[in-house]
Amino acid sequence: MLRLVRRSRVAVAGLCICVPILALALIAPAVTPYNPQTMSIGERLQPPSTRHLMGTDVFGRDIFSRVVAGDRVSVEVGGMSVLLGLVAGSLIGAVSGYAGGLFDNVLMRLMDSVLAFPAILLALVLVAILGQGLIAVMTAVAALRIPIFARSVRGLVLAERTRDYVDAARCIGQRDSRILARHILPNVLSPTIVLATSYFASGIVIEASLSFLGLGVVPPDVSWGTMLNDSLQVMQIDPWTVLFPATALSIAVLGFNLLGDGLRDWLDPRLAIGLQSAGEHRQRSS
Amino acid sequence: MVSNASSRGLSRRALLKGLTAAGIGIGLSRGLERPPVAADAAPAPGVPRRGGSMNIGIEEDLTSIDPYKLNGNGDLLIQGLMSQPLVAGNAEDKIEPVLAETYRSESGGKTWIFNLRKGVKFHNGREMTGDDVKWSFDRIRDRKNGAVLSSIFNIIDLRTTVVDRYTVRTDIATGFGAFLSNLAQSTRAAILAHESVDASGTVTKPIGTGPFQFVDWKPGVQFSAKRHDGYWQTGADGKPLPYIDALTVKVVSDPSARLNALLAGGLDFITQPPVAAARNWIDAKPPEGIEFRRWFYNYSDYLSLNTRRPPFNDVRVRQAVQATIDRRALNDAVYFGLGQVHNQPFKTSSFWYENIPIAPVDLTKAKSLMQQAGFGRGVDVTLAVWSPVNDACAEVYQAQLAQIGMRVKLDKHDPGSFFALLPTYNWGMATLEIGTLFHPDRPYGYLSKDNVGHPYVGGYDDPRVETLLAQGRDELDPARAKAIYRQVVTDFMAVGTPEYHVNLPLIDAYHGYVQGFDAYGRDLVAINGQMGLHKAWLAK
Repeated sequence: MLRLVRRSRVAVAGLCICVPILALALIAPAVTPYNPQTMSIGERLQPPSTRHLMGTDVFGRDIFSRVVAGDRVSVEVGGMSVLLGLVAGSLIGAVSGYAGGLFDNVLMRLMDSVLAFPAILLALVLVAILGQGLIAVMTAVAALRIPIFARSVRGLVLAERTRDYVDAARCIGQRDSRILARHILPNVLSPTIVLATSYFASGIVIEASLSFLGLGVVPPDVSWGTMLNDSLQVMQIDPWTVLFPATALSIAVLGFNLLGDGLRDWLDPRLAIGLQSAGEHRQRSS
Repeated sequence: MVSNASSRGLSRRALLKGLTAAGIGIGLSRGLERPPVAADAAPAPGVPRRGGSMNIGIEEDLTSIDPYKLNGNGDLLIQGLMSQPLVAGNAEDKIEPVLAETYRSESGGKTWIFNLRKGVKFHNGREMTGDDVKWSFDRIRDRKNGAVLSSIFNIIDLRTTVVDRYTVRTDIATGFGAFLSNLAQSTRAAILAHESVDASGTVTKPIGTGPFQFVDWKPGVQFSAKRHDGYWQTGADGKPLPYIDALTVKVVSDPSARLNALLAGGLDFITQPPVAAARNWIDAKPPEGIEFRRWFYNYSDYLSLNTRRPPFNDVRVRQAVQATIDRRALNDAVYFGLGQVHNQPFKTSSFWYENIPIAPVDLTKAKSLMQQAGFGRGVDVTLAVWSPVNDACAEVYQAQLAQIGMRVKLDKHDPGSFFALLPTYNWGMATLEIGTLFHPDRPYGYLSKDNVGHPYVGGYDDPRVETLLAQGRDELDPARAKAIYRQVVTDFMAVGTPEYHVNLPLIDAYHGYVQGFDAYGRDLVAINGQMGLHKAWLAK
């Protein structure tokens, strides 16, 4: 841990934000003072107070409880979409990179064509096809990630497959599937996981965007995006309705981005060497 | 340049003096020609001024440039600027003449004679005659043209005969009592010039008799119109209305964006600002220089329960829903208390409103009914939502029905897929809106199994209601018709679908310099021509 603190303060800052977010998502029902779905029309649009820490929304629902419930949805969507994208993308990238030839060419052009579409536009199309709801949003965001992970893993596999240990494995008669699964994949996993952390945050943003547009999470499920949408009519008069979900969204995105950057700095030896040599160069110049 | 002047014997000082003197001279002479600008700009209060153009922000675009296909709010707002019917409903839902100067019925309502207003000009300058009325009604009746009233005109077997240049006779086989109200459905039965259609028979440029004439329509962006110089109504100065030269109607679908554009001066007039802002204006005051008005017409939201599928094929489940929905809470949550709770599609001030008390919320009774129906442990249902119009209502229904164990799944649709879904009966509940009503046959006619709107109200077949509807439709005497429809209202309330909850608030906001504007319907120009933007002027 101390090594981590020394090597990457950015990663530590990210961890300091992400750990509470993840913890809150795990224990959400235990810490919400009110049911986030229960309306209390008589208490609508109450400003923050000791009774309602972040005030209430247009339907009289407790905003603090909804921010916490929204955290769980964001973590679920961010985590599951990245996991699905990582597994499917890694599989495609690894097989494509290892096999090479026409197979590799066709698969990669397919991935390129998916990457050619703007992410949010593609997500909208996918949600329109899959229908609304948490599962549809997770699937749509995961589908956006598959080509990214596939291309990344393919590049790493292309570099690994020419190494001596792969030749050695072939020489002792190991099957291609075994070489790929047991020898190459473990070697390319570390940078891919770092990449996954970076895309966690963008998964949260895409889910919030879809929900804001009314195409993501369907009520009574709570999302920061739907909270922002609900606050549209009243945000100028009752700003707390937009302030807290927007702040929660910003902090979560910042946290996961910092964590991703920090982990990359920490785990990527090339970056570490690069930084070190840059530092040495500066010292020599001075 | 100076060297040139010097060379002609004119010194620099002499040149400057000369220029200064010339400047003062010109300034004085212009000052003598006309009074100071400030005196010219101040309009006499309350006296209409001619000229100027207005930018208007509305929530929805036209769905079609064809006034006979009028369907959405954008159509209601815009089409009335250009086209007008023979008759229209007034603020009390009573029918009065517009392009017809007078009308009378013969043979117990089977024949109607319309005496047309003389000298009414279309936008192309041609005078409107009986031939135009026949062309318009025949076009509406012809099913291939897709007019909304086509099915009604065919059901009542409307036949139009030109008696003379200014007299038209229509014969109908049924629906005598409701006939005029059908003609009064905004521009669905407007009188158009036949030059409005192209070679394929499509309306490409509506040429009507309204106060504004079509200039341009960019779908999803804006609609432009200019004044109709030969309009038949005159203003306070004895010259033809309207006072304003041109209108640009912009589609700004987000209420906050509309309001911000108004406050920033980009728009002069908007419909439907955020309800929350209007609530605040009522509680405190509107922003400096901004005026607004809240008003009602027959414009209601309603909840339909599909009687052809479980669980709503059981009347006890429908009654449980009735006893659960808290209209006041719905009004407070969605419309910030600005709507009027009611239990039928007419506003309380309408002639057709029936004074039947709203059933109280009774959760104990609702839970007991659910128990009796075998759903004591709850039931999963879908709520088809016309999104985003009814999103907020749907959330409130969902939360309220959860109290009696109904687990409501929202199934959101755009208007196209929503209205395609309803006739399939592949849904549990649906949340809708209805407006522009001048006779009970329109909303209650949906209860008839032959009506295309039958799915919209849950598809319940009731022979007694069918008989009552047929009687009401043919009854010419309003008092007797009202007594018949009272029974219809009582019956559908017992059946439990549709359930009308809130008469929706309508709000317009505009700058104080927009003067003389008033209206009672969604139209920017009231369909009877008595109120609207054609009587407004700009005091700036």
